[in-house]
Amino acid sequence: MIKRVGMKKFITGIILFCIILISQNVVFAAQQLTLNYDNKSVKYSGVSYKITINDKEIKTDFPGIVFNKVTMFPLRPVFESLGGTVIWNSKTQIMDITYKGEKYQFENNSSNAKINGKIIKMTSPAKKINDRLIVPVDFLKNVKGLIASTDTKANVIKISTNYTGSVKEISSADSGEKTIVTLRMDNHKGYKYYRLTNPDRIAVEFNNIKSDQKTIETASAHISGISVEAISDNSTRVIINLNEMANFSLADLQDGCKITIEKPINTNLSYENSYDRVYFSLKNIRLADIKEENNRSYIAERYKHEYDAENFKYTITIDAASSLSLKDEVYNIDDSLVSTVEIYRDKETQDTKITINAKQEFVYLTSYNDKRMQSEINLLTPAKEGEALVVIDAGHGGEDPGANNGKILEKDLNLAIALKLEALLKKNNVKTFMLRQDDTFVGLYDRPYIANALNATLFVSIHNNAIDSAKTSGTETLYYPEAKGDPAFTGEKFAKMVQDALIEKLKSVNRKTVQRPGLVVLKYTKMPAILAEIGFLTNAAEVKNLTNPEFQQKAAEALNDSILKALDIIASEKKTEDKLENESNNEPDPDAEAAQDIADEQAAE
Amino acid sequence: MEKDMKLLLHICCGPCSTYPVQELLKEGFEIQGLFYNPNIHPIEEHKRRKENVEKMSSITNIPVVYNDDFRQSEWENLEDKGAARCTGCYSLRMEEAARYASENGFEAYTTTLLVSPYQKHELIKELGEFYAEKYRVAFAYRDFRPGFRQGQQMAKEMGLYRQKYCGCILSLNG
Repeated sequence: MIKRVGMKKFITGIILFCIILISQNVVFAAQQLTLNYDNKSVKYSGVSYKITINDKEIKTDFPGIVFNKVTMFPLRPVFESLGGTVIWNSKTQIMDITYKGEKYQFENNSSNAKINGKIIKMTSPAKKINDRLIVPVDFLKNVKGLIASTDTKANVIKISTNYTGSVKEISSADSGEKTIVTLRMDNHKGYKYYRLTNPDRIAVEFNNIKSDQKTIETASAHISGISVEAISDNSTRVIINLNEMANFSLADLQDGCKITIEKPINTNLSYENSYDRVYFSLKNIRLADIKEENNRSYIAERYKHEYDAENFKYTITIDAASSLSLKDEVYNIDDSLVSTVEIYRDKETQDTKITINAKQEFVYLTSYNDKRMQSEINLLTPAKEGEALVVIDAGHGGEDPGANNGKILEKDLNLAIALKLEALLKKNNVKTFMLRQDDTFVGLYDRPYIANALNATLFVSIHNNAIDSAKTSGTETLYYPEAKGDPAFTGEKFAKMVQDALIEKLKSVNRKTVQRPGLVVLKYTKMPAILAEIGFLTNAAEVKNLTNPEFQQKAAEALNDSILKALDIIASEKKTEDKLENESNNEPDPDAEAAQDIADEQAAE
Repeated sequence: MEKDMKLLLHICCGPCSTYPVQELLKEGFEIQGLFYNPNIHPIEEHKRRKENVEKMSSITNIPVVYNDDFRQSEWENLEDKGAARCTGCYSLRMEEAARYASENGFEAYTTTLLVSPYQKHELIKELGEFYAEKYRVAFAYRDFRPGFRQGQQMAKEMGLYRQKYCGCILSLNG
């Protein structure tokens, strides 16, 4: 019984198979193409090409064919699929196509095509067949934003809009007080622009554009040159070098953008965003003083401020007397952090308001940089609760070289080690903040204040030593002395770890840890802070070491290792604290509550 | 190489400087003294106080600059009478100290006058802050008074001359 059922199924299967075969033949027969043109009908026996756009087959009632030995394709289905408009005039036998702002014109039986009115000779005339106007595939090379190829194995005409484009035009011209930079690309897929500071630049990053490194000399009023650099195989950055901090606006073009650059009204305002530190500086306006009281230091503000957290809007109000030099202006910053800065004088009170319209939340810290006679409004993103953040302070910088040995400057050595340390910490997924990442001057008090505002976990200052004896050498780590018996992880404990790690790695003379209560960066930082004096510039052997990148790397490794260890200790301290807090929360302890009441009363007094 | 904060210490006399110097060194300041007391009467007393500051300086190794201005007649012609003259007296010193600190790269300044329980402490503090603001330098206010006795003891051990009056002609006669 079982066998008979099986046989029946087998026979049914064979019949079905035959039907499928026959029906497929029918389909093939239907696809047999008849070409109707010039009042005649011709059976087509050549290859029928499928057409794909970006590897997706398009719907067409007429395939690509080989006609008079040339591979041709139907214009309407292709350009309509691409999003162009196609108009056929049966009277004139002319087809007009608009695609990406360019106009194409084809005439039946003519080899002359027109692109924006300009004649282009085709390898074979356009031909109206079966009510479709077809043209040679190789014409597509003249169409902006496309590339096409014919795959003769798979019988596919491949059209792609995804090819990597190139730079078409970069130019600049002055128009009155303004400089206009025009950037045109062939087939870019979007761009973004932002400011780079120090020196001031505007960068425009184009997607899908391939380029070679080059610099374009220009002699315009506000720019000193334009350079082009490849970021990757298919993205390109155009950098416009500004002569000074300038205001700019950007207008979209079909194939790029136009940037209008002009001198700002307030020349004493400038913006710095080249790395971790982001700030506005106001020359010759003093917005803050550093006050010292009973061994504590703080910033006394000379302005009123308010923060609109919902709109990331920060406004400071400066009284009339200190803001005389400021004039009304809207300043386009337009980078990833800030959209605009508005300066506005209240007509009645004559007070000036400066509003920073940011794109994200910041904590604002304003300080006065004595050396540069400028106020600096810092935009800071503090570490989140439980997030580790290490502030790296490369000692000295800019106008302040620190110690030196001939042309070898301490500030440069400090920075070299700091940058290596930063790289190592980043590799270990530790968040860092560089107080300076290049040769800039950072105010001495700004260093601890910024670290405090950032809610940093650790503060690491990197220095090198000097003394009036060429014999002296070695490594020491400085700290602010902790209160006797303080169980918490302090700068003093951190310093011991750092010192041990440095000595082990560098094999230098151990000058131990040194109590230094008078150093601003150690005294006013609220988190465990150390200052490592790696070696002596005044010692011939050590200065040789210090300028050696391998030695610098070792120093950075030692710092990195001890920082990781310290972060572990801090994290576990925090855990224990949280645990104790939870426990006490669960079981209210009347004694502890009473103790707290007493403490509160004392604090109130 | 990182440097300690520089503090200018206005010094009124040797004995008063002992305790503040000790405390400020503990805090880690790099200290320089400024002797400027232009109305100590008579001039022989002015000289004697200066010599004792020099003595303190050589014992403690604290460098001191001496401003020998003697402005007794100017002082006597001040319109303020009586206790109001104290304001004028403190102002002379605090302004000069703030100016000197500001022009010579000090981060902060303060005065040994803050050690004496006999001085008008709050007035000194107020003037210190006033001139700090004017000359853009921090005033490191400290209440050194709890150390006054200890300071006098230290002065005794150093063999410093301890005067019996504040300094001006009024305090001498009073």
